[in-house]
Amino acid sequence: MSQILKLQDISLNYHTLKDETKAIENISMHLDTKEFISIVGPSGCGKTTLLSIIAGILKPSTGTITLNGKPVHEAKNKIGYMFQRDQLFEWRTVLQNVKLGLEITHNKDPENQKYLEELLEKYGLYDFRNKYPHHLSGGMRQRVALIRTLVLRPEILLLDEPFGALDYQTRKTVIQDVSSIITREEKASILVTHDLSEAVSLSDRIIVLSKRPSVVKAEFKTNLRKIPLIEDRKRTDEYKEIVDKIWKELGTSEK
Amino acid sequence: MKNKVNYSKEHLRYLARNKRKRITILCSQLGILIVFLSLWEILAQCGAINTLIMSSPSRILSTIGDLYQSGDLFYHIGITLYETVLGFAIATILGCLIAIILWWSETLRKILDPYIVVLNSLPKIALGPIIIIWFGAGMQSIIVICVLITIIITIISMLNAFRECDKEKILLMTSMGANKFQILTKLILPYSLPQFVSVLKISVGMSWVGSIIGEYLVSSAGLGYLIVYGSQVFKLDLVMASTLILCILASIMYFAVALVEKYVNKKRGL
Repeated sequence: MSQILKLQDISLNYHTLKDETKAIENISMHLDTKEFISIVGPSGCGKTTLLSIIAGILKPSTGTITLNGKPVHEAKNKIGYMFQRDQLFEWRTVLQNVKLGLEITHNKDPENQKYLEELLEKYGLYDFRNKYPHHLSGGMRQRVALIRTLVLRPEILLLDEPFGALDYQTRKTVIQDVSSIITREEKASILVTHDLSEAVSLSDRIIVLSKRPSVVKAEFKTNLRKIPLIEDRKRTDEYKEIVDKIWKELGTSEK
Repeated sequence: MKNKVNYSKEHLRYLARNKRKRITILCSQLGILIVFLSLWEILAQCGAINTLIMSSPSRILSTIGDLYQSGDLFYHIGITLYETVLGFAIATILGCLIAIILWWSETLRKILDPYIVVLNSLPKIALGPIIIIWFGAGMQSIIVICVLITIIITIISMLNAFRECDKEKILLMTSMGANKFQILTKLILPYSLPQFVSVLKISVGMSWVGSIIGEYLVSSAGLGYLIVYGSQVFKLDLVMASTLILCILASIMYFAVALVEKYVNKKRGL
């Protein structure tokens, strides 16, 4: 597997009038093609900040990030972002919501339109294309949000606690849905979460960050993604063992 | 619509109760008006109240009739309506434009913030005499006063609406490579549309205040002029008649905006 994303010695300092805070210190990591990694850590450790840096929205104080060997801020639209809430535009229909990215990038050519309709069809949303978001269930809304991102054919996906706002029952189905879609579309993804069971059951690799200033504390590999159903993954010994290890890592960082 | 036959007895009872309640409220509303007007008329007819300072419903109606016959009625209505609608339109368009500019430039907003606060807290009528000197003793001044009274609330409310927009939605658009203009047109403006319509409801009322106050200060025609003139020559019938017409006009304009609101919400599928 080749490395698609590479972070080298990334640091970020926050400036306020009172003080200068080190949010992130010398983080280096990489993401392989088709790989799914999770970033976990104590709350406030700068996980979301790290995602913003990867997305090219925040500029790091030091270090370099490259996507396919090119600096990340030159690679517009190659990175898809998903948020805790689906952030669908309530005044647009499903189809109009999904088209948003194509409108912004002026890419509404027939080929992209066709791709978009294929995605809607494939993931059971085609019949709902003319409905408004408030007619959809929480799970469908999150699927629309994912397709809105996929339409732009991003190289990697950044998922910022995308299941955090869902109720327990919906959450289970949405996690399975999103995970299957990502696997099927073969997208490399980074998930930020505080939920260890989510992180371990979805990922090829889990990166544990320390509290601020965050550094990479530990890294765990799993083979769980070979098992199609997430509920089945959670029943394996490997799953239990890794969750246990991460718990211990996080426990020591709290001290 | 579901067929009524399919409803359970309990549900039919619920519907009937609901209908009774609505009818009671409507009857009470009309009742208050009828009792008030008849009491007023009866007391005036039997001389219990002085019609010279209290007027009476019948005298108000006949005054409106006289105004209509002399052709003055629609002339005065037309003038005030023209000032109000023009003031309202200018204030809304200009107010939104200024709000957009202030949203666009954070620095400019911070620079102008204290001035807007002062302008907002200042009773705009205090500027009346200055405006009359600058713009002349005529309709221009009235429209300027109307705009001044209406525009501040539009700017402040719209700017707040723009700034309330979800930061993650902006982040989403940025991550898709949107520029500031695209964020404005595809996100901020449609997002703020419901807020815009409810601001319209407020500013419609404000623009009536503006045009009437303006006519109080300087005018030779219009409903505000009739009210001031009536009070000066002690024709309370004229004052009350003009006030009544004003009430009706302002309500019509408010309901027109409320209809727009309904249409906007319907179009959004809400």
